[in-house]
Amino acid sequence: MAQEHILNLSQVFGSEQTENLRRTQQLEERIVELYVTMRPSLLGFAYHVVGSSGEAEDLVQSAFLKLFDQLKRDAQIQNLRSWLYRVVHNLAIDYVRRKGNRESVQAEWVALRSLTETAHSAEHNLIQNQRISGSLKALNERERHCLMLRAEGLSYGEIGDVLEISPKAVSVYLARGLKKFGGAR
Amino acid sequence: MNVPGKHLLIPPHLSDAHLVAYLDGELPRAEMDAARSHVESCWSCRSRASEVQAGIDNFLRARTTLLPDDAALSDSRVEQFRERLARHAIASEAEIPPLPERISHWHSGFRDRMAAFLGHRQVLVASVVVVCLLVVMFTDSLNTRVSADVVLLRAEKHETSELPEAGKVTRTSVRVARVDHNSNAEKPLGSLTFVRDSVSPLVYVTAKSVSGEAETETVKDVRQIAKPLLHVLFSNGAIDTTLAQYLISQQWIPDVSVGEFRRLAGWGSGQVSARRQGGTFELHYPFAPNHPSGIAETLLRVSAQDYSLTSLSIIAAGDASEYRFTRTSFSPEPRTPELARIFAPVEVAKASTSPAARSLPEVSRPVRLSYANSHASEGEVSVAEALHRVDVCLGEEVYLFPMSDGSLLVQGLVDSTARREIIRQALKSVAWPLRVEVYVPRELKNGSELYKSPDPTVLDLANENSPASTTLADLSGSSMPLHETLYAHFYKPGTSSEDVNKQVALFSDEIVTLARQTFLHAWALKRLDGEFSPERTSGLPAAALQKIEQMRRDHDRWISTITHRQTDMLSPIAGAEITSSVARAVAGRESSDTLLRLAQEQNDLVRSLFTTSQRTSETANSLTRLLVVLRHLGS
Repeated sequence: MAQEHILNLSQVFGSEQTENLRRTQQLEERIVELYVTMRPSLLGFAYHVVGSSGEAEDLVQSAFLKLFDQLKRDAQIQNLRSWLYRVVHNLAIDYVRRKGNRESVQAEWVALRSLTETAHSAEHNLIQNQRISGSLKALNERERHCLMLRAEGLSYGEIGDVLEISPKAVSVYLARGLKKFGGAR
Repeated sequence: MNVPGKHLLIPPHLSDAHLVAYLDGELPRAEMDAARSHVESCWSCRSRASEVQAGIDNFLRARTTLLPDDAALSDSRVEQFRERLARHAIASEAEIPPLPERISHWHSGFRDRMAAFLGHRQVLVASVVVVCLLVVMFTDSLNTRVSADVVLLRAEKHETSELPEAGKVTRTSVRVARVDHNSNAEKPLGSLTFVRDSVSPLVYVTAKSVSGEAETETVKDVRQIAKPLLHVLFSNGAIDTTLAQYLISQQWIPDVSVGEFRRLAGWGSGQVSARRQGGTFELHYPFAPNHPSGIAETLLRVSAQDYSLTSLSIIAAGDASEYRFTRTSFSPEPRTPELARIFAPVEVAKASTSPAARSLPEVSRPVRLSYANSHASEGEVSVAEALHRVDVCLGEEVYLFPMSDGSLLVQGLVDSTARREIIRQALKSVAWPLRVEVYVPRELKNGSELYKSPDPTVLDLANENSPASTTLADLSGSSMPLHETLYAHFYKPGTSSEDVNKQVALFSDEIVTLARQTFLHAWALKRLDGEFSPERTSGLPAAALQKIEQMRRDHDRWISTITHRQTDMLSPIAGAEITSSVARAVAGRESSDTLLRLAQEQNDLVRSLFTTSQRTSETANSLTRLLVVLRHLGS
């Protein structure tokens, strides 16, 4: 009889606390599941912006911690996907600005990376990859972000939400960006 | 008569943005229909649509090659995130100020229940156990399993927070001691002070040994004075000679920083493991047994509270004694005029004639030499040969630099740690002062500097010779130019078209791979010519010259073998007529420049013929030219 008493947490903490604990645990589980599903695409995007996989991972995880806070507060999130991308984007941009002029670092990294890729892959040709890295460098920040997000499957509306621009502007950036790549042949 | 408006005769073309939005299905319905009927009737817009498609293909291709190395999601990564989330949940719980009434409600309820419980001792003990369990489950106070990566990352973040603010300098003091393995008693060896400036990139360093020897220097790159610093600290035979010499040769700085820990870890071959000991994270990095450095293990201690570094230890393999570098103090200080003078530009210090400025000890730091201003050493040949044996010469971005002090530096970027290990192993056999700095892409941050090849001509050549003939991603509705020829060649009555297509694919894959290998070997030859030119190798012993010649012969032999195989594969496809006309076009030995150009040409030709392309090339001509080039190469 006494044992039953002990194992009932509500008796110790009061029912409200227990309920809270249980809710938090459930929420944590949901967040971890979401992290597992969404991480690859978010990581790819963050990595392109910050140019370091360690930082990218940290940013993506931070975004999910923010999501946890939001859901804990019962805040409404209309479109979870674009919300997550927006948070990752903002965190990444903050990081880049804090680090100073990372744009050039990233461009160099892109060039380096594509050079090494070529050294090993029999599929890719050295010169073509160099030209591609050249095209990547030719993109400006907005164009690159629009292309990345579109490649992740986001609609113009969602991309607009992430970057805080209109869907029309998204189509303009995409067209400009693709032109630079189409011409890279 | 009613003449229709101009706009009705020539419907307006879609703007670029409109066209992209149309292809993405993002136009409003009404505009969508108009756009569709226009594109269907307009060749020009259809052609632009295919350009957009090519842009998409190219971009996607570029994107996949640029994904991070460790993109794969591992269980340990999920576990690490789960831990972080749990910690965050607890922390955020603590941040929410509870409502007063909620407290009193909880408190009174708890008090009542406690009063009831106190009557039952068993119940009380058990509930204490439950509370303890909850504490263990929801806090990390007893959690000793941590991820080393995360700790290092946090520690690095903390380090950036310690950078001096404007108008300030920071002073860091480090105590150096040898710790007795048995009694755990510290025997002091000396101390170090680093003063870092917010204005100039200079660092002011002082090292004092217990015997009172001191070395003081203001330097831009601390590594410059690694040697004198270590000399001061480890004078009087306070350290194992092998270990000391190794540290000096590697220009290791006895600073307690993540960077210096990573440098130490970079020489070993084990894995960093981390565990929590009370309020400290301990990061262990074991070295391979019998490591030439004489190091058994390095150990970094990080405060679990704020991720500040506590100490860094090197544990010697011989007598297991520990050399511990402990941070004793860190403080930001105002940048007084006196301090500002220390950090005045070096040029001014040099120009001044004060005795103090002149008495600054001369420190010679080896610098990289170019091929133009250096001679090849026997060591350089040995290292090149070791790299050659593991095929680093085949297009890998790893370079060998002769240094001004006669030592060598192998530096570059490889795509995986496994590959780096192969390179390290290969270099172990070389008995020559050698520094190896091979990175994987994710380590390229925090200012790691990759040097350009010591022989820039090769890279330039590769950059300039961009042929307009090949395309990367023209996959839309096109096929390989030689597909029909190959299909006819492999077709036998009774075989399914699927099987024939498989054979065609295998054949073209092999041809493309071989072509690339030929190109890489020709490139390697060109690199060898630059590195071991007659000017650089004059005076080398015959054995070393022989090694160089052997490397050349290896590449020559490969080029010849591969191109013969290519010719054998291609001749039946080309038919007897073309093959016989080509047979006459045999020339003598080519220079490495010509070889590289030919190799590049055959690579381009093969790619244009055996990979999918929209272009309809003159396949017969290209094939003939390819065979001619291969004959040249194979001769």
